[in-house]
Amino acid sequence: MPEMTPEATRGAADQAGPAVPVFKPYTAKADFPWEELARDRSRCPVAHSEHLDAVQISSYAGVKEVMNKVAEAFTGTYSTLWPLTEPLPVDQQVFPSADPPRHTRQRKLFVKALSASRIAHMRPFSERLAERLLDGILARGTGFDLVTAYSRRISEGHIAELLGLPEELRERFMYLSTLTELSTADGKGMGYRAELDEWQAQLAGMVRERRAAGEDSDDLITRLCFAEDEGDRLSELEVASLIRAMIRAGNTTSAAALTNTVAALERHPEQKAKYLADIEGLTPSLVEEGLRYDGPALGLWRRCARETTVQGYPLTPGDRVFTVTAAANHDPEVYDRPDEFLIDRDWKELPPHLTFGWGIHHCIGVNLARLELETSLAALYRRLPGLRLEPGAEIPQVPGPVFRNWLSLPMVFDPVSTGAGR
Amino acid sequence: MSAVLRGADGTRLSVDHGLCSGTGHCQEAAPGAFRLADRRAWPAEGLDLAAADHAGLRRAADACPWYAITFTPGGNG
Repeated sequence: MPEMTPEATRGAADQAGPAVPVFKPYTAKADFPWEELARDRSRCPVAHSEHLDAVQISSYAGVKEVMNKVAEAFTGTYSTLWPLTEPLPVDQQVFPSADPPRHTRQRKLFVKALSASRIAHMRPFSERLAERLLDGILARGTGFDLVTAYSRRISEGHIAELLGLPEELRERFMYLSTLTELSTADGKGMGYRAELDEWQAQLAGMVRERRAAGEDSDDLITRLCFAEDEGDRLSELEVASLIRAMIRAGNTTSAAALTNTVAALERHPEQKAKYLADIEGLTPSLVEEGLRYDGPALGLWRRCARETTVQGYPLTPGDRVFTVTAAANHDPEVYDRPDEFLIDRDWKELPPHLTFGWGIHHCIGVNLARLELETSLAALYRRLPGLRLEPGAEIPQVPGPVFRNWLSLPMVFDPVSTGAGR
Repeated sequence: MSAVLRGADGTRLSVDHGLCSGTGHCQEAAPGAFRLADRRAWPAEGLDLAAADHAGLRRAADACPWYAITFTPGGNG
């Protein structure tokens, strides 16, 4: 895919008027958008984009300012995945698309189950899952698609373990999660509406059944079903929406983060060599760099709810904003050599990348995501000798402005003699 | 499971390590009052709670996306 469209070139040449964003993710989504995002960030970090029909924000300071002002000046109720013209039905306002106090009530139900100390207990499970999947990949030959055989199985396995999802539902829920991701491509979310509505109804049915069966288990779904807010239970639909959001976010974002990190490592042989020489020592900083360099979010939508400013740019209620996380994470004001993939950056000294967001909506799955990435990357590169991209393979990028995700990543590795795999 | 600090005037600051995820929102809200280690936040070494910036500590408690920080002013608040 070309990195610069003809319109983009014309826009960049037009130095006379106010700078116009060149980023065109609907019609000309670049496989590697760093150059065009750098142009927008340096020439017009906060500017109206006709293409997005929104104020596009692409500097680290600007994106973080929006995240810090979310509670006072913005709303997520028009969805953060599609720029809707009406708010979502109340029962579907969950997590990023809920505002306080609804959001606070929902988040409090989850923080304990997803806290750093609780997730740390999942490490043995996480390591076993990666080993088991790699056993299967090794048994099947010397080629596989990383996305379907590994990344998605890793994320689906973790979220199912956390939520207590029955085995027979996992594959279908993963499929529906990827449909949600694809449905962001047209900016309207209409593409797969019937199937996604059916999913919602199925989950509401599951909530009904668990409530009827009584509180006989300690898994997260059961606890949600019986959670009370000032003496009232949450509605069936709200619990269903919360479960769906957990499954979707847990499935697609961490799988994308894993795939994107492997793709980046394979495109940077000198970084890969460095990693192979010290897998143990470099895994945590590889994970952070993967999330910064090519995290699963390209950007997110919000809507201005009260008059405010972002980096001095005035916004009024009803204005749509699109915060380009991928541009913020490559801001040279914050990171040296921002468009380079460097797996040994010292993250103790660096400001956090904004892939997990910031403020009241900070990704609640941050600990789970880091655990999954650490165990699955280390195991993958330990177990598969000579791992590399399949030469000449097509590597498609998910369409639309919201996500960054390679939809398949065909890989090959050297044969391993039986019994010598470990 | 919590890091607790008490001031001479009865002021109390605690970080619930069953919830904290070490994202550093508290450090930004109350500069100098917290340190991060082992993916958790802790009251900074030598922090004098009675003399500390109480408004900043209240901001830190409000800003924590994990609801892990409790700040209770002592004495005259």
